[in-house]
Amino acid sequence: MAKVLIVDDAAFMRMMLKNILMKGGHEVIGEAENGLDAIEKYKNLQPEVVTMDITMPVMEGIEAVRHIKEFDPNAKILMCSAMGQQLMIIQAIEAGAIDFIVKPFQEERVLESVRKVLSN
Amino acid sequence: MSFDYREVFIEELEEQLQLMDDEIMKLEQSDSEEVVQSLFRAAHTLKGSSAAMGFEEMKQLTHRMEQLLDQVRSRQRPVTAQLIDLLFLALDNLKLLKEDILRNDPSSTDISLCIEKLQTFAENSEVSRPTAASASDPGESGIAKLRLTMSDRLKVQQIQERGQHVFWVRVSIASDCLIKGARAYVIHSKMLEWGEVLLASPDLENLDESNEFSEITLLYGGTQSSEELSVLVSGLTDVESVNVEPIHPEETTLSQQPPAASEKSAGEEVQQTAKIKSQTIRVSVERLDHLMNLVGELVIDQTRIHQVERTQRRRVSDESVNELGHISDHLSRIIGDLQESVMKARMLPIEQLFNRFPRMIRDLSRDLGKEIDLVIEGQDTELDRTLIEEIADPLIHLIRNAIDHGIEGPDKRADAGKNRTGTLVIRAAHEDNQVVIYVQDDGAGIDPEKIKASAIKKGLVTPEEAEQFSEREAIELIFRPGFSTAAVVSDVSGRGVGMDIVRSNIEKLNGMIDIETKLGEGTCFKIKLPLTLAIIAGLQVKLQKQTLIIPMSNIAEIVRVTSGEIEIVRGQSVILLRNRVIPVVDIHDQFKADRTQQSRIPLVIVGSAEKRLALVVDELIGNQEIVIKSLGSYIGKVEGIAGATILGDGSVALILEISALFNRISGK
Repeated sequence: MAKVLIVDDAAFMRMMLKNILMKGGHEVIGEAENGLDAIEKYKNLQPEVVTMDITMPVMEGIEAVRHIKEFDPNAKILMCSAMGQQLMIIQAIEAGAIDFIVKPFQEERVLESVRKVLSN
Repeated sequence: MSFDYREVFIEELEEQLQLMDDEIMKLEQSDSEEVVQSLFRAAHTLKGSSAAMGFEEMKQLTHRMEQLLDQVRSRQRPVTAQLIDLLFLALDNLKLLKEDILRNDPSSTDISLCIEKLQTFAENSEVSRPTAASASDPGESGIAKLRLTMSDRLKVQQIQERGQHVFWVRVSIASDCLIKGARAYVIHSKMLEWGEVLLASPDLENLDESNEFSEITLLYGGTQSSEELSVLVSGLTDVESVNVEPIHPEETTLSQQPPAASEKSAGEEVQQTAKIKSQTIRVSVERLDHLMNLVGELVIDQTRIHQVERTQRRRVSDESVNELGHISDHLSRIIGDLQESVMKARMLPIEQLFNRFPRMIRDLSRDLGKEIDLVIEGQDTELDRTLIEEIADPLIHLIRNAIDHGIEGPDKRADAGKNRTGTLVIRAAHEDNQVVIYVQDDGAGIDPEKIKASAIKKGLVTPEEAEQFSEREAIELIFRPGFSTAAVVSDVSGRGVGMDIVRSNIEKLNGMIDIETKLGEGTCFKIKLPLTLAIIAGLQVKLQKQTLIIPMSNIAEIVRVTSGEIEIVRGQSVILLRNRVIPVVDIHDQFKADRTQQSRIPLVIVGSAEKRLALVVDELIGNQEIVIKSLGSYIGKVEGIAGATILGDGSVALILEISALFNRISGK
């Protein structure tokens, strides 16, 4: 299916997402633990979809979305957010993210969103 | 499935809790934006993972913390002492919850009180939130009720003049959608890809999370037909149903006064922190232990090869022996490096442990009404992970003692002409292949007379014995089992764990504890620890044919004396060494070895705290790195023996446990 790059500062969240995505037949080709790392890995790995956490040290998700979109205007980025981050999601969408999923992750929802992002 | 994640979750939980601890302390010192941000992130991360793990209480608690911190972050709430206390309270509750999770007993801690406190606090001093413009009242989401401003009407007409369509699009959002505002925004931005959006309700510029709505209404203008639009929109995430209808001509007549346009909300600044994580992988301690064991085996084999090489060299001398020598030397270098690398992999900065102290000391000094400046030094000193865990309790005990019994109250200090604020220094350093930890206070010091009096009262020594004690010996009484000097046993120190336990814990780690004290000026405890537990430097000695090993960390010095220098005082053999009387102990009997007659007797002076003993041995062989092996389950624990090791010639040598020897002597 799709080659995915997972960005989240919590190894726990990355592990969860990875398992969900792999169950859905996707290939997780990389993991990044902050925005800066994500930009670097995006350039190197050229993933088809990026799942991007919002709150991260070093560089937050929204900033990373801006940079990735600058590098590749067609980048498909799915924000991972928690309750209470509405404004952040909106900023991320403004920056070019396509959609968002809400933690705690539900398997069907995540896969559904990835599918929709891909068909975009 | 949650079980697979548990370990990772707990590891991160511990990291985040420690981080919070530090940051709340920092916040108490100075209200910095960066600190608030980092605290907020920690609470946020925990909320996410605990929710995913199904730890409902932890989720609720972190959610409340996050809420409060968000208010602080957006400058709607000042940092007050009350806020700090509350954050600490919440943190403590989180720690309790963590303990519950570790014990697999998720329901034993009641956090409702804490949650209630957080909630009342957040509500009572209700802060002025920039309220959303009233124009976006979710109640009036009906299509017909949306009014078009004059410029909207103009736009609609322009679009229609271009031959495009204008539709009212009503979208129902799934009820289980979590962040509806953001969802509405995504739908809105999607629509922009297919045309223009002239109007939207609720007003997307001013959404806040409390807005509850299940429907959004948009005025679309573009090339799509109503069927096409309907299909496109219903394909979006969380869209339950779509209703598309053309705009009524009446709505676009240019005759009404437009209502005021809503103002834009300010974009939030995204904060960057400069903290960069070093590249690491997590490895379980078990694997490292296994590696260390293997290295230990190699060390043993290496000594054996070396031994073989030496015996061969004595017998023959040809190329092959030389080559064996080269190989053996090279091998020992490599094993040395390997051992060091594995050891380093097991080492952690002692920071991990020291980080716990500021909070503990803050709480303690508050409870006891003392003013204390904490100075922590050398927190990047590394030592074996197991040691860090094992040394925590003894250190905490020493620190408690220092604060409770050592440092005086501010008034008393002022009377004594000292600074009202006491200083507690906790310092770690590497000193000749050992780690030394100091716990030093500038308090009252230990009064030997008081100690003696107390020991007599407790029946630990007779008044006659006490009379004989030197100052140093008197102070050492604090290490006796059953001793506690506090006049009143406070609930801080002296809860049954005495200094004797501290000492025996340290000695179990092949360490030593020393004490230096000056009445009125303060006390300094010095703990010496080996760098690692698995491999130690040991002195090989002989008792007749038996080889024994004495851990180097216990050895103070080695002397040779003539038998005439050993005197008998009150039935005990002693020697006088630099004006100090040291008991002489002969362990030949214990090991069933015959005594050797020699003119100069080698004595190994071993130490435990300030005590010294001189061990009589027959021969000194040399010191060597040795791997400690347990005696195995058949034999179990033997009094006086710490374990065994395999020597170069393949024979087994016992390792002496010096602290047990001291106990035996003092028990006599």
